[in-house]
Amino acid sequence: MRFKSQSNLMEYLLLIFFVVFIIVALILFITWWQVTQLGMKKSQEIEDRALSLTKEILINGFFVKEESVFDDGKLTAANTTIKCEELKHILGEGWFMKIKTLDESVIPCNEDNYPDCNYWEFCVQDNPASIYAIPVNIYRRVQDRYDLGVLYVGVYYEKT
Amino acid sequence: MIEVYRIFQLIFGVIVSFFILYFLIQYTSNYAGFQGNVLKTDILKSFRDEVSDVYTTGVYTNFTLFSRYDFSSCAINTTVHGVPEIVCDFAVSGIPITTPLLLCPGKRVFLWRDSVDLGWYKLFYVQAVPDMTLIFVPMDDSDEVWNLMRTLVSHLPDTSDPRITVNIKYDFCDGEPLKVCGGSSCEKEDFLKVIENVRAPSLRKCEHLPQRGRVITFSKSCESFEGICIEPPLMSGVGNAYISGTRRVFVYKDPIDLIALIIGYTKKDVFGITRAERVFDYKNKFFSEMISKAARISSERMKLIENFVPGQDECEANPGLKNCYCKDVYRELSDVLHTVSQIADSDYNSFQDMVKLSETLSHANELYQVLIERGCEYEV
Repeated sequence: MRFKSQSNLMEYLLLIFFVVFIIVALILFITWWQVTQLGMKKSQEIEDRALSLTKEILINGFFVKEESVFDDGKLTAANTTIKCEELKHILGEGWFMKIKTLDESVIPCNEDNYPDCNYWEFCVQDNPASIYAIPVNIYRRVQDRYDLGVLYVGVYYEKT
Repeated sequence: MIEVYRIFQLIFGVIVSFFILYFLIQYTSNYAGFQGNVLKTDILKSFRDEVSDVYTTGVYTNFTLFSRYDFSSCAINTTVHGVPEIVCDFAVSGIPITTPLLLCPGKRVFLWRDSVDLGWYKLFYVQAVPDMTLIFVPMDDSDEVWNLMRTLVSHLPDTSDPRITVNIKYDFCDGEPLKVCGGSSCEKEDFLKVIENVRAPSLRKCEHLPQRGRVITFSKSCESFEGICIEPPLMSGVGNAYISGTRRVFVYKDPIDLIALIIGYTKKDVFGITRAERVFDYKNKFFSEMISKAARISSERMKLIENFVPGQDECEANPGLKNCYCKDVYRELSDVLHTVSQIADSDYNSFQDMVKLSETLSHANELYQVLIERGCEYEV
Protein backbone atom coordinates (compact mmCIF):
# COMPACT_ATOMS: atom_id res chain seq x y z
CA MET A 1 0.00 0.00 0.00
CA ARG A 2 2.78 2.36 0.92
CA PHE A 3 4.71 1.51 -2.22
CA LYS A 4 1.60 1.95 -4.31
CA SER A 5 1.12 5.42 -2.85
CA GLN A 6 4.73 6.34 -3.51
CA SER A 7 4.43 5.06 -7.06
CA ASN A 8 1.29 7.17 -7.63
CA LEU A 9 3.09 10.16 -6.21
CA MET A 10 6.05 9.68 -8.59
CA GLU A 11 3.69 9.36 -11.54
CA TYR A 12 2.00 12.58 -10.53
CA LEU A 13 5.28 14.45 -10.16
CA LEU A 14 6.52 13.19 -13.51
CA LEU A 15 3.28 14.29 -15.15
CA ILE A 16 3.61 17.76 -13.68
CA PHE A 17 7.21 17.91 -14.82
CA PHE A 18 6.31 17.03 -18.40
CA VAL A 19 3.45 19.53 -18.48
CA VAL A 20 5.78 22.32 -17.30
CA PHE A 21 8.43 21.17 -19.77
CA ILE A 22 5.96 21.36 -22.67
CA ILE A 23 4.80 24.83 -21.65
CA VAL A 24 8.38 26.12 -21.44
CA ALA A 25 9.21 24.49 -24.78
CA LEU A 26 6.21 26.21 -26.36
CA ILE A 27 7.32 29.59 -25.01
CA LEU A 28 10.85 29.06 -26.33
CA PHE A 29 9.51 27.98 -29.71
CA ILE A 30 7.30 31.06 -30.03
CA THR A 31 10.24 33.29 -29.12
CA TRP A 32 12.49 31.58 -31.67
CA TRP A 33 9.72 31.95 -34.29
CA GLN A 34 9.47 35.68 -33.60
CA VAL A 35 13.23 36.13 -33.93
CA THR A 36 13.26 34.24 -37.25
CA GLN A 37 10.34 36.30 -38.53
CA LEU A 38 12.17 39.50 -37.61
CA GLY A 39 15.19 38.36 -39.63
CA MET A 40 13.03 37.65 -42.68
CA LYS A 41 11.25 40.93 -42.21
CA LYS A 42 14.57 42.81 -42.20
CA SER A 43 15.51 41.29 -45.53
CA GLN A 44 12.12 42.20 -47.00
CA GLU A 45 12.45 45.74 -45.66
CA ILE A 46 15.79 46.20 -47.39
CA GLU A 47 14.22 45.20 -50.72
CA ASP A 48 11.24 47.46 -50.12
CA ARG A 49 13.54 50.33 -49.28
CA ALA A 50 15.57 49.81 -52.46
CA LEU A 51 12.39 49.99 -54.53
CA SER A 52 11.10 53.02 -52.66
CA LEU A 53 14.44 54.80 -53.06
CA THR A 54 14.45 54.04 -56.79
CA LYS A 55 11.02 55.64 -57.19
CA GLU A 56 12.04 58.71 -55.16
CA ILE A 57 15.24 59.21 -57.14
CA LEU A 58 13.27 59.13 -60.40
CA ILE A 59 11.47 62.34 -59.40
CA ASN A 60 14.19 63.98 -57.31
CA GLY A 61 14.87 67.49 -58.59
CA PHE A 62 18.56 67.18 -57.68
CA PHE A 63 19.08 64.83 -60.64
CA VAL A 64 16.12 64.91 -63.03
CA LYS A 65 14.72 67.22 -65.68
CA GLU A 66 11.32 65.54 -65.33
CA GLU A 67 10.12 62.18 -64.05
CA SER A 68 12.43 59.37 -65.23
CA VAL A 69 14.48 61.79 -67.36
CA PHE A 70 17.83 62.62 -65.85
CA ASP A 71 19.74 65.80 -66.64
CA ASP A 72 23.42 65.14 -67.35
CA GLY A 73 24.36 68.63 -66.13
CA LYS A 74 22.63 68.06 -62.79
CA LEU A 75 24.19 64.62 -62.41
CA THR A 76 27.67 65.95 -63.11
CA ALA A 77 27.14 68.95 -60.82
CA ALA A 78 25.82 66.73 -58.01
CA ASN A 79 28.79 64.39 -58.46
CA THR A 80 31.28 67.22 -58.09
CA THR A 81 29.65 69.41 -55.45
CA ILE A 82 27.63 67.19 -53.08
CA LYS A 83 29.39 64.65 -50.87
CA CYS A 84 27.86 61.28 -50.11
CA GLU A 85 27.48 62.23 -46.43
CA GLU A 86 25.28 65.15 -47.41
CA LEU A 87 23.08 63.01 -49.64
CA LYS A 88 22.69 60.54 -46.78
CA HIS A 89 21.11 63.32 -44.76
CA ILE A 90 18.37 63.59 -47.39
CA LEU A 91 18.00 60.02 -48.65
CA GLY A 92 19.20 57.99 -45.66
CA GLU A 93 22.16 55.69 -45.16
CA GLY A 94 23.40 52.52 -46.75
CA TRP A 95 22.39 53.13 -50.39
CA PHE A 96 24.08 53.81 -53.69
CA MET A 97 23.17 54.93 -57.19
CA LYS A 98 24.79 54.50 -60.60
CA ILE A 99 23.68 55.73 -63.99
CA LYS A 100 25.26 54.80 -67.26
CA THR A 101 24.32 55.27 -70.88
CA LEU A 102 24.12 52.23 -73.11
CA ASP A 103 27.57 52.82 -74.65
CA GLU A 104 30.12 50.11 -74.08
CA SER A 105 32.75 52.43 -72.62
CA VAL A 106 32.59 53.77 -69.07
CA ILE A 107 33.74 57.38 -68.75
CA PRO A 108 33.04 58.81 -65.27
CA CYS A 109 31.83 62.41 -65.48
CA ASN A 110 33.51 65.37 -63.85
CA GLU A 111 33.70 69.12 -64.54
CA ASP A 112 36.72 68.67 -66.84
CA ASN A 113 35.34 66.10 -69.29
CA TYR A 114 31.65 67.18 -69.28
CA PRO A 115 29.71 66.56 -71.56
CA ASP A 116 31.94 63.89 -73.17
CA CYS A 117 31.29 61.29 -70.51
CA ASN A 118 28.60 58.74 -69.73
CA TYR A 119 28.78 57.45 -66.17
CA TRP A 120 27.78 58.84 -62.77
CA GLU A 121 27.92 57.15 -59.39
CA PHE A 122 26.99 58.16 -55.84
CA CYS A 123 27.90 56.50 -52.53
CA VAL A 124 29.20 53.29 -54.10
CA GLN A 125 30.92 50.77 -51.82
CA ASP A 126 32.12 47.22 -52.27
CA ASN A 127 29.40 45.47 -50.24
CA PRO A 128 26.52 43.12 -51.07
CA ALA A 129 23.27 44.95 -51.76
CA SER A 130 19.72 44.57 -52.96
CA ILE A 131 19.70 46.33 -56.36
CA TYR A 132 17.07 47.55 -58.80
CA ALA A 133 18.09 48.30 -62.41
CA ILE A 134 15.70 50.20 -64.65
CA PRO A 135 16.00 51.91 -68.04
CA VAL A 136 15.90 55.70 -68.01
CA ASN A 137 16.39 58.64 -70.34
CA ILE A 138 19.31 61.01 -69.92
CA TYR A 139 18.90 64.52 -71.31
CA ARG A 140 22.18 65.77 -72.77
CA ARG A 141 21.88 69.51 -72.28
CA VAL A 142 24.80 70.62 -74.46
CA GLN A 143 23.95 68.36 -77.40
CA ASP A 144 20.20 68.87 -76.80
CA ARG A 145 19.38 65.18 -77.24
CA TYR A 146 18.14 62.25 -75.17
CA ASP A 147 20.29 59.15 -74.56
CA LEU A 148 19.11 55.83 -73.20
CA GLY A 149 20.68 54.67 -69.99
CA VAL A 150 20.30 52.34 -67.03
CA LEU A 151 19.80 53.43 -63.44
CA TYR A 152 21.05 51.15 -60.67
CA VAL A 153 19.83 51.85 -57.14
CA GLY A 154 20.80 49.59 -54.28
CA VAL A 155 20.58 49.31 -50.51
CA TYR A 156 23.42 47.56 -48.72
CA TYR A 157 22.58 44.62 -46.49
CA GLU A 158 25.02 45.78 -43.85
CA LYS A 159 25.14 49.43 -42.82
CA THR A 160 28.62 50.95 -43.16
CA MET B 1 -12.24 8.92 4.15
CA ILE B 2 -9.91 10.95 1.96
CA GLU B 3 -6.37 9.64 1.76
CA VAL B 4 -3.30 11.69 2.69
CA TYR B 5 -2.08 11.11 -0.82
CA ARG B 6 -5.18 12.75 -2.27
CA ILE B 7 -4.72 15.75 0.00
CA PHE B 8 -1.12 16.02 -1.18
CA GLN B 9 -2.29 15.82 -4.78
CA LEU B 10 -4.75 18.61 -4.24
CA ILE B 11 -2.34 20.92 -2.46
CA PHE B 12 0.55 20.25 -4.81
CA GLY B 13 -1.73 20.64 -7.83
CA VAL B 14 -2.93 24.01 -6.58
CA ILE B 15 0.63 25.23 -5.97
CA VAL B 16 1.91 24.07 -9.37
CA SER B 17 -1.15 25.47 -11.16
CA PHE B 18 -0.61 28.79 -9.46
CA PHE B 19 3.01 28.98 -10.62
CA ILE B 20 2.18 27.88 -14.16
CA LEU B 21 -0.66 30.37 -14.43
CA TYR B 22 1.49 33.14 -13.02
CA PHE B 23 4.25 32.67 -15.60
CA LEU B 24 1.77 32.16 -18.42
CA ILE B 25 -0.14 35.33 -17.58
CA GLN B 26 3.05 37.33 -17.21
CA TYR B 27 4.40 36.04 -20.53
CA THR B 28 1.07 36.64 -22.28
CA SER B 29 0.76 40.20 -21.02
CA ASN B 30 4.37 40.97 -22.03
CA TYR B 31 3.76 39.33 -25.39
CA ALA B 32 0.51 41.24 -25.88
CA GLY B 33 2.27 44.51 -25.05
CA PHE B 34 5.14 43.61 -27.38
CA GLN B 35 2.76 42.63 -30.18
CA GLY B 36 0.81 45.84 -29.68
CA ASN B 37 3.96 47.89 -30.20
CA VAL B 38 4.93 45.73 -33.19
CA LEU B 39 1.52 46.41 -34.73
CA LYS B 40 1.81 50.14 -34.10
CA THR B 41 5.26 50.18 -35.69
CA ASP B 42 3.92 48.20 -38.67
CA ILE B 43 1.13 50.74 -39.07
CA LEU B 44 3.66 53.60 -39.03
CA LYS B 45 5.80 51.81 -41.63
CA SER B 46 2.73 51.21 -43.75
CA PHE B 47 1.92 54.92 -43.44
CA ARG B 48 5.44 55.82 -44.51
CA ASP B 49 5.12 53.58 -47.59
CA GLU B 50 1.78 55.19 -48.51
CA VAL B 51 3.34 58.63 -48.13
CA SER B 52 6.21 57.59 -50.39
CA ASP B 53 3.75 56.32 -53.03
CA VAL B 54 1.80 59.57 -52.94
CA TYR B 55 5.08 61.50 -53.22
CA THR B 56 6.31 59.56 -56.25
CA THR B 57 3.00 59.23 -58.13
CA GLY B 58 1.15 62.40 -57.13
CA VAL B 59 -2.03 60.34 -56.63
CA TYR B 60 -3.90 61.24 -53.45
CA THR B 61 -5.33 58.65 -51.06
CA ASN B 62 -6.92 58.08 -47.66
CA PHE B 63 -5.12 56.38 -44.79
CA THR B 64 -7.37 54.89 -42.13
CA LEU B 65 -5.13 52.53 -40.11
CA PHE B 66 -4.48 55.23 -37.50
CA SER B 67 -7.96 54.53 -36.14
CA ARG B 68 -6.76 51.25 -34.57
CA TYR B 69 -4.58 52.85 -31.91
CA ASP B 70 -3.81 56.29 -30.55
CA PHE B 71 -1.24 57.99 -32.78
CA SER B 72 -2.02 61.54 -31.67
CA SER B 73 1.43 61.91 -30.09
CA CYS B 74 3.26 61.22 -33.38
CA ALA B 75 5.23 63.98 -35.05
CA ILE B 76 8.23 64.32 -37.34
CA ASN B 77 11.52 65.42 -35.86
CA THR B 78 14.68 66.33 -37.70
CA THR B 79 17.81 64.62 -36.43
CA VAL B 80 21.33 65.96 -36.26
CA HIS B 81 23.14 63.33 -38.28
CA GLY B 82 20.46 61.47 -40.17
CA VAL B 83 17.13 61.75 -41.94
CA PRO B 84 14.01 63.00 -40.13
CA GLU B 85 12.06 60.45 -38.08
CA ILE B 86 8.44 59.90 -37.11
CA VAL B 87 8.50 59.76 -33.31
CA CYS B 88 5.64 58.80 -31.02
CA ASP B 89 5.31 58.53 -27.23
CA PHE B 90 4.89 54.75 -27.33
CA ALA B 91 7.94 53.99 -29.48
CA VAL B 92 11.51 53.83 -28.16
CA SER B 93 13.04 54.84 -31.48
CA GLY B 94 11.71 56.78 -34.46
CA ILE B 95 10.80 55.56 -37.93
CA PRO B 96 13.12 57.22 -40.50
CA ILE B 97 11.29 59.03 -43.30
CA THR B 98 13.00 60.57 -46.32
CA THR B 99 9.83 61.90 -47.96
CA PRO B 100 9.17 65.57 -47.14
CA LEU B 101 5.92 65.39 -45.14
CA LEU B 102 3.76 67.78 -43.14
CA LEU B 103 1.88 65.58 -40.71
CA CYS B 104 -1.11 65.99 -38.44
CA PRO B 105 -2.31 62.54 -37.32
CA GLY B 106 -5.99 61.73 -36.85
CA LYS B 107 -8.28 58.69 -37.01
CA ARG B 108 -8.16 58.98 -40.76
CA VAL B 109 -5.89 61.23 -42.80
CA PHE B 110 -5.88 62.46 -46.36
CA LEU B 111 -2.56 62.20 -48.21
CA TRP B 112 -1.87 64.39 -51.18
CA ARG B 113 1.14 65.94 -52.91
CA ASP B 114 1.80 69.64 -53.17
CA SER B 115 4.86 71.48 -54.43
CA VAL B 116 7.02 74.53 -53.87
CA ASP B 117 7.88 76.01 -57.27
CA LEU B 118 11.02 78.13 -57.21
CA GLY B 119 11.30 78.32 -61.01
CA TRP B 120 14.71 76.60 -61.27
CA TYR B 121 13.67 73.84 -58.82
CA LYS B 122 10.42 72.25 -57.77
CA LEU B 123 10.25 70.69 -54.34
CA PHE B 124 7.49 68.14 -53.90
CA TYR B 125 6.15 67.31 -50.46
CA VAL B 126 3.20 65.43 -48.98
CA GLN B 127 0.49 66.72 -46.65
CA ALA B 128 -1.16 64.27 -44.23
CA VAL B 129 -4.22 66.00 -42.80
CA PRO B 130 -7.23 64.77 -40.79
CA ASP B 131 -10.84 65.99 -41.00
CA MET B 132 -10.99 69.71 -40.35
CA THR B 133 -12.86 72.90 -41.21
CA LEU B 134 -10.67 75.90 -41.90
CA ILE B 135 -12.34 79.10 -40.76
CA PHE B 136 -10.90 82.27 -42.29
CA VAL B 137 -11.34 85.53 -40.41
CA PRO B 138 -9.98 88.40 -42.52
CA MET B 139 -10.03 91.49 -40.31
CA ASP B 140 -9.16 93.69 -43.29
CA ASP B 141 -9.96 93.45 -46.98
CA SER B 142 -6.64 94.59 -48.44
CA ASP B 143 -5.16 93.05 -51.59
CA GLU B 144 -2.33 91.44 -49.59
CA VAL B 145 -4.75 89.62 -47.30
CA TRP B 146 -6.98 88.45 -50.14
CA ASN B 147 -3.99 87.31 -52.24
CA LEU B 148 -2.53 85.52 -49.25
CA MET B 149 -5.83 83.72 -48.57
CA ARG B 150 -6.09 82.68 -52.20
CA THR B 151 -2.52 81.38 -52.21
CA LEU B 152 -3.00 79.48 -48.96
CA VAL B 153 -6.20 77.78 -50.09
CA SER B 154 -4.59 76.81 -53.41
CA HIS B 155 -1.93 74.92 -51.41
CA LEU B 156 -4.50 73.12 -49.25
CA PRO B 157 -6.28 69.86 -50.14
CA ASP B 158 -9.42 69.44 -52.25
CA THR B 159 -11.59 66.64 -50.83
CA SER B 160 -14.61 67.02 -53.13
CA ASP B 161 -13.95 63.63 -54.74
CA PRO B 162 -16.63 61.28 -53.29
CA ARG B 163 -14.01 58.53 -52.95
CA ILE B 164 -12.20 60.59 -50.33
CA THR B 165 -13.48 59.77 -46.85
CA VAL B 166 -11.67 62.67 -45.13
CA ASN B 167 -13.44 66.04 -45.20
CA ILE B 168 -11.54 69.31 -45.39
CA LYS B 169 -13.87 72.26 -45.64
CA TYR B 170 -13.44 76.01 -45.83
CA ASP B 171 -15.55 78.85 -44.49
CA PHE B 172 -15.51 82.50 -43.47
CA CYS B 173 -16.45 83.73 -40.02
CA ASP B 174 -17.82 86.98 -38.68
CA GLY B 175 -18.86 86.26 -35.12
CA GLU B 176 -20.29 82.96 -36.32
CA PRO B 177 -19.26 80.70 -39.22
CA LEU B 178 -20.98 82.18 -42.29
CA LYS B 179 -21.54 78.90 -44.20
CA VAL B 180 -21.12 80.72 -47.49
CA CYS B 181 -21.72 77.73 -49.76
CA GLY B 182 -25.44 77.12 -49.73
CA GLY B 183 -25.72 77.04 -45.94
CA SER B 184 -22.67 74.90 -45.30
CA SER B 185 -18.89 75.10 -45.43
CA CYS B 186 -17.27 74.99 -48.84
CA GLU B 187 -15.13 72.64 -50.78
CA LYS B 188 -11.85 74.11 -51.97
CA GLU B 189 -12.85 75.13 -55.51
CA ASP B 190 -16.12 76.69 -54.36
CA PHE B 191 -14.28 78.61 -51.65
CA LEU B 192 -11.78 79.93 -54.18
CA LYS B 193 -14.71 81.21 -56.26
CA VAL B 194 -16.12 82.94 -53.16
CA ILE B 195 -12.74 84.58 -52.55
CA GLU B 196 -12.69 85.83 -56.17
CA ASN B 197 -16.19 87.31 -56.05
CA VAL B 198 -16.66 88.51 -52.48
CA ARG B 199 -14.49 90.89 -50.51
CA ALA B 200 -15.64 91.99 -47.09
CA PRO B 201 -13.70 92.10 -43.84
CA SER B 202 -14.87 90.34 -40.70
CA LEU B 203 -15.85 92.68 -37.88
CA ARG B 204 -15.97 90.28 -34.97
CA LYS B 205 -13.92 87.41 -33.58
CA CYS B 206 -15.14 83.95 -34.35
CA GLU B 207 -17.23 82.02 -31.83
CA HIS B 208 -19.25 78.77 -31.95
CA LEU B 209 -16.68 76.97 -34.00
CA PRO B 210 -17.72 73.76 -35.75
CA GLN B 211 -16.21 70.49 -34.60
CA ARG B 212 -12.60 70.22 -35.74
CA GLY B 213 -12.63 73.88 -36.72
CA ARG B 214 -9.34 75.72 -37.13
CA VAL B 215 -9.46 79.50 -37.00
CA ILE B 216 -7.09 81.51 -39.19
CA THR B 217 -7.25 85.25 -38.54
CA PHE B 218 -5.67 87.82 -40.84
CA SER B 219 -4.98 91.08 -39.08
CA LYS B 220 -2.41 93.89 -39.03
CA SER B 221 -2.32 93.55 -35.27
CA CYS B 222 -2.51 90.10 -33.67
CA GLU B 223 -3.22 90.99 -30.07
CA SER B 224 -6.19 88.93 -29.05
CA PHE B 225 -7.07 85.93 -31.16
CA GLU B 226 -7.73 82.23 -31.15
CA GLY B 227 -5.96 79.66 -33.29
CA ILE B 228 -3.60 81.22 -35.82
CA CYS B 229 -3.13 84.91 -36.56
CA ILE B 230 -1.30 86.03 -39.69
CA GLU B 231 -0.11 89.57 -40.27
CA PRO B 232 0.01 90.66 -43.93
CA PRO B 233 3.50 90.45 -45.44
CA LEU B 234 5.67 93.46 -44.62
CA MET B 235 8.52 93.17 -47.10
CA SER B 236 9.29 90.87 -50.05
CA GLY B 237 6.50 88.49 -49.09
CA VAL B 238 7.86 88.03 -45.56
CA GLY B 239 5.64 88.55 -42.53
CA ASN B 240 4.87 87.36 -38.99
CA ALA B 241 2.38 84.81 -37.74
CA TYR B 242 1.32 83.76 -34.25
CA ILE B 243 -0.22 80.75 -32.54
CA SER B 244 -2.48 81.11 -29.52
CA GLY B 245 -0.96 79.59 -26.42
CA THR B 246 2.61 80.50 -27.34
CA ARG B 247 4.48 83.80 -27.45
CA ARG B 248 6.76 82.75 -30.26
CA VAL B 249 6.77 84.86 -33.44
CA PHE B 250 6.79 82.73 -36.60
CA VAL B 251 8.47 84.42 -39.57
CA TYR B 252 6.94 83.22 -42.82
CA LYS B 253 8.51 83.71 -46.25
CA ASP B 254 6.44 81.37 -48.39
CA PRO B 255 2.92 79.92 -48.18
CA ILE B 256 4.22 76.56 -47.00
CA ASP B 257 5.42 78.10 -43.73
CA LEU B 258 1.80 79.08 -43.07
CA ILE B 259 0.51 75.70 -44.28
CA ALA B 260 2.83 74.09 -41.71
CA LEU B 261 1.28 76.22 -38.95
CA ILE B 262 -2.27 75.46 -40.13
CA ILE B 263 -1.61 71.72 -40.33
CA GLY B 264 0.09 71.66 -36.93
CA TYR B 265 -2.34 74.01 -35.17
CA THR B 266 -2.55 74.59 -31.44
CA LYS B 267 -2.54 71.17 -29.78
CA LYS B 268 0.28 70.90 -27.24
CA ASP B 269 2.40 67.89 -26.38
CA VAL B 270 3.45 66.83 -22.87
CA PHE B 271 6.24 69.42 -22.94
CA GLY B 272 3.85 72.26 -23.74
CA ILE B 273 5.13 72.66 -27.31
CA THR B 274 2.41 73.20 -29.88
CA ARG B 275 2.26 70.86 -32.84
CA ALA B 276 2.43 73.94 -35.10
CA GLU B 277 5.89 74.74 -33.75
CA ARG B 278 7.12 71.20 -34.41
CA VAL B 279 5.79 71.11 -37.97
CA PHE B 280 7.12 74.62 -38.66
CA ASP B 281 10.60 73.78 -37.35
CA TYR B 282 10.70 70.52 -39.30
CA LYS B 283 9.58 72.27 -42.49
CA ASN B 284 12.21 74.97 -42.21
CA LYS B 285 15.08 72.67 -41.27
CA PHE B 286 14.45 69.87 -43.76
CA PHE B 287 13.07 71.86 -46.70
CA SER B 288 15.80 74.49 -46.34
CA GLU B 289 18.45 71.81 -46.45
CA MET B 290 17.00 70.43 -49.67
CA ILE B 291 16.77 73.87 -51.24
CA SER B 292 20.34 74.65 -50.22
CA LYS B 293 21.67 71.50 -51.87
CA ALA B 294 19.50 71.96 -54.94
CA ALA B 295 20.82 75.50 -55.30
CA ARG B 296 24.39 74.29 -55.03
CA ILE B 297 23.83 71.66 -57.73
CA SER B 298 22.02 74.11 -60.00
CA SER B 299 24.71 76.76 -59.52
CA GLU B 300 27.41 74.31 -60.59
CA ARG B 301 25.23 73.16 -63.51
CA MET B 302 24.86 76.74 -64.73
CA LYS B 303 28.67 77.11 -64.63
CA LEU B 304 29.13 73.91 -66.66
CA ILE B 305 26.60 74.94 -69.31
CA GLU B 306 27.89 78.51 -69.51
CA ASN B 307 31.09 77.16 -71.13
CA PHE B 308 29.08 75.70 -74.03
CA VAL B 309 26.71 78.51 -74.97
CA PRO B 310 27.74 81.18 -77.47
CA GLY B 311 28.85 84.61 -76.25
CA GLN B 312 27.37 87.91 -77.35
CA ASP B 313 29.89 88.43 -80.17
CA GLU B 314 29.15 85.03 -81.68
CA CYS B 315 25.41 85.61 -81.43
CA GLU B 316 25.67 88.96 -83.18
CA ALA B 317 27.83 87.43 -85.91
CA ASN B 318 25.49 84.41 -86.36
CA PRO B 319 21.92 85.44 -85.48
CA GLY B 320 20.53 81.92 -86.10
CA LEU B 321 22.62 80.25 -83.37
CA LYS B 322 20.87 78.35 -80.59
CA ASN B 323 21.14 79.37 -76.91
CA CYS B 324 21.92 82.96 -77.83
CA TYR B 325 22.20 85.80 -75.32
CA CYS B 326 22.21 83.38 -72.39
CA LYS B 327 25.87 83.28 -71.38
CA ASP B 328 25.74 86.30 -69.07
CA VAL B 329 22.44 85.16 -67.58
CA TYR B 330 23.92 81.75 -66.80
CA ARG B 331 26.86 83.39 -65.09
CA GLU B 332 24.66 85.70 -63.04
CA LEU B 333 22.23 82.91 -62.14
CA SER B 334 25.10 80.70 -61.03
CA ASP B 335 26.25 83.41 -58.62
CA VAL B 336 22.74 84.06 -57.33
CA LEU B 337 22.13 80.35 -56.75
CA HIS B 338 25.45 80.11 -54.96
CA THR B 339 24.18 82.84 -52.62
CA VAL B 340 20.89 80.94 -52.17
CA SER B 341 22.78 77.79 -51.19
CA GLN B 342 24.64 79.73 -48.52
CA ILE B 343 21.67 81.54 -47.00
CA ALA B 344 18.93 78.91 -47.48
CA ASP B 345 19.62 77.31 -44.13
CA SER B 346 20.28 80.51 -42.19
CA ASP B 347 18.20 81.37 -39.13
CA TYR B 348 14.58 81.00 -40.23
CA ASN B 349 13.41 82.93 -37.16
CA SER B 350 15.25 86.06 -38.29
CA PHE B 351 13.07 88.47 -40.25
CA GLN B 352 16.03 90.15 -42.01
CA ASP B 353 17.59 86.84 -43.05
CA MET B 354 14.30 85.64 -44.48
CA VAL B 355 13.79 88.90 -46.39
CA LYS B 356 17.23 88.43 -47.95
CA LEU B 357 16.45 84.81 -48.80
CA SER B 358 13.08 85.71 -50.28
CA GLU B 359 14.60 88.46 -52.44
CA THR B 360 17.42 86.20 -53.63
CA LEU B 361 14.99 83.40 -54.52
CA SER B 362 12.82 85.87 -56.46
CA HIS B 363 15.87 87.11 -58.33
CA ALA B 364 16.94 83.55 -59.17
CA ASN B 365 13.44 82.79 -60.44
CA GLU B 366 13.42 85.89 -62.64
CA LEU B 367 16.77 84.98 -64.19
CA TYR B 368 15.64 81.42 -64.84
CA GLN B 369 12.46 82.69 -66.53
CA VAL B 370 14.68 84.81 -68.82
CA LEU B 371 16.59 81.66 -69.78
CA ILE B 372 13.32 79.86 -70.53
CA GLU B 373 12.08 82.74 -72.67
CA ARG B 374 15.33 82.71 -74.65
CA GLY B 375 15.03 78.97 -75.23
CA CYS B 376 18.08 78.06 -73.17
CA GLU B 377 16.34 76.23 -70.34
CA TYR B 378 13.27 74.09 -69.72
CA GLU B 379 10.39 74.52 -67.28
CA VAL B 380 10.80 72.26 -64.26
